[in-house]
Amino acid sequence: MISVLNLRKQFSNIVAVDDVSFNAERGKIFGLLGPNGAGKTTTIRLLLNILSPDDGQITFDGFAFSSALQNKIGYLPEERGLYKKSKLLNTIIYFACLKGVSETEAKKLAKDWLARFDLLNYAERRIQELSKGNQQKVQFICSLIHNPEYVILDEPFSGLDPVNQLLMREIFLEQRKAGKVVIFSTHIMEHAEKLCDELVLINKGKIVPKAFGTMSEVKQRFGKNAIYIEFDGDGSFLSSMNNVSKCQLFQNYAELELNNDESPSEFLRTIVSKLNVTKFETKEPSLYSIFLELVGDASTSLSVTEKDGVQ
Amino acid sequence: MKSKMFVVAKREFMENVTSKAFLLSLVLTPAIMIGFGFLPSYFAAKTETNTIVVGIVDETDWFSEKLSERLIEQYKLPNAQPNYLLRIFRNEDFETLRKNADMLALEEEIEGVFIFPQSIENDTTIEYRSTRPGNIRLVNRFEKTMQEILREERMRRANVSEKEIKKFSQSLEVNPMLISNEGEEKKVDFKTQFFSSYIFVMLMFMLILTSGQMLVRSVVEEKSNRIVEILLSSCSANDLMKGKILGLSALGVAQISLWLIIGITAVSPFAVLLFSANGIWLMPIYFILGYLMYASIFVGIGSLVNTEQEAQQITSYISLLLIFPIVLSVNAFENPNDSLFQILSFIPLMTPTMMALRISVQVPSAIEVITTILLLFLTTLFFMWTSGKIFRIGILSTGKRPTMKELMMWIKSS
Repeated sequence: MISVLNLRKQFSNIVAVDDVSFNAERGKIFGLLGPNGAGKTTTIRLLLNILSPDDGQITFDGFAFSSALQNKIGYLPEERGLYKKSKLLNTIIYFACLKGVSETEAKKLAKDWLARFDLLNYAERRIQELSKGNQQKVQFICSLIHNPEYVILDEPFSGLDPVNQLLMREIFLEQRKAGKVVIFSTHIMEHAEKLCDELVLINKGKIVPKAFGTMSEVKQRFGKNAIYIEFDGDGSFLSSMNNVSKCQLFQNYAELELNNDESPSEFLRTIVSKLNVTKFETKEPSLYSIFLELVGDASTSLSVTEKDGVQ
Repeated sequence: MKSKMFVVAKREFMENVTSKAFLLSLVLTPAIMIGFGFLPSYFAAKTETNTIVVGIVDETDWFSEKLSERLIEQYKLPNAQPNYLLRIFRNEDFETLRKNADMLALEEEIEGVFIFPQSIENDTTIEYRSTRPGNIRLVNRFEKTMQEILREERMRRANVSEKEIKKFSQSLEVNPMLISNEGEEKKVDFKTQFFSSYIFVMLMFMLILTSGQMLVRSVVEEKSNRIVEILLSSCSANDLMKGKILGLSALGVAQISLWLIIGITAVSPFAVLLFSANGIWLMPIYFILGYLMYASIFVGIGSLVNTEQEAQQITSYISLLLIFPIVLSVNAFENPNDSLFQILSFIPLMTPTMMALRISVQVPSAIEVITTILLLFLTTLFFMWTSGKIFRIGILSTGKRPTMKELMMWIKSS
């Protein structure tokens, strides 16, 4: 488990990370969510000890950061780059050796991974001769080759085509199954929604109040208990019902928001006596709409969908 | 656990040793050195193969003949032909003669024209007109010969006997001997001495420059590609910096060793030159310290800038400081203990080259040697420490270059 407690980091006059706490457990995928500039990358750099925090604590299964721990962390940075003029195999071996893997072992592992990613034929090519997608695969290999206990991926899906997104997802699930701590950051909620077991939403360096916990907890907390109904008859009474908090009424269609303690099926039972209901739909909020609701107004650099991202 | 520093060093070494740039510098550097060092002296020593015709506008009726006779006697081509032939312009209006001669010189019929007025016996200057008045060898030879003739002629007019004239005209040649404390003495060949230290200084300069640029390039690449984030998640900034310097130093040592082996086996005079230098054992000390000092400066700079172009601008100014003593090398040979050179030796950025130049002529006093080494050592430590601080933060920051104030904050931060 990676445990973060009251983390704080300030750059001259900007507080990039302000009192952030969370636990990322083994065997779960933890989402570090937030709009651009929220402090996700800074948080990750603090986790990796690339930056040192002004305040707060980070522990890895109870231990503070040490140089020996570096070998147990796999990291994929948001901005991708590799040595353009170096050969593929040499590059992977170098990064593996930097993580404490012996050279012979690194060579063997690198070949296994290259085979899996269908890149074995490129092993002696220079990185710059590879397509962008293939370069990205090489980077995934570099961040995972040493079989890290803690996998930290910053915007892992950005710039990936659908096929590689699937491959990435497969790797994610594999890492989770192996009981590793997987933290990934993203500002694309669709990705988070499909993968995260637990999440924390940060904005302007702070955790958005109540926006943390398991996916269903968060959805429940911010769920609007919304109902769409289609009907025949006079629906004007709907707006004056005291268990309805919000009502938008049309000729034979209405969007309602019920009070939190009201169950939708109970509500249905009370209205069928007065109306001929032709369609009834309960709507669970998407992470996307929660995200918009929570940070949409406040954030200036909001970006919820990515141009080249495939939804 | 094997230190990550060595992993970094190994990569820097292996990636660069196979690069085209390195192979090119392996060949080009000696070529440039030879070009700079040996070509001028080769041309200076080269004997002419064709007779040169020089014009003389002569108002006297005797000077040209004497000069011609003496020149033919003293300067001969390898094929026994005279080196210089005179074309004499006489018996016309002085101005016309000069115009005609100028014309011929411009048409390259003759090398140049000496003007001998009637008053030559009492004159102290003589005019030489040419499209190439900088032909120093010709001018020097003519000057010497003309002086001899005039001196003898003046004595003759003062009724000095021919026998005595001969006695008075005897010339003298200086035979320089190098003496040392060990009581040895040996004949000094200025060129040997000059080139031995010249080679050393050039080697050092080229090496620092080429590997300095490699260093900057690799830092800038990692910074702009953000590879550095992966690196820093794997090892400390300190390991990364030291690894880079170590790897490229090893590359430099490999390069020099290779040159020396080739140099010693293929051109043994080269080796003789190199090892005949005085205090040769002091040079590696200055060299290594100088190398480390410049390497740490380059690493610091590389971590501050965002593009290679920016880096090259700054590093080329710094390199000028290194090469500056080479500009002064001839003067340094004449008087290695001139106070200016002594002062320059204490400017750490110049210490390695300045001392290398001076040592080859005369090993400076022990106090000077010890204090310069100590100062250089402390400065190197200082730069390594400062660059380490700057590197750690600089390599992660992109965008605009930090201000001086920010830099100071980086250095002060723990």
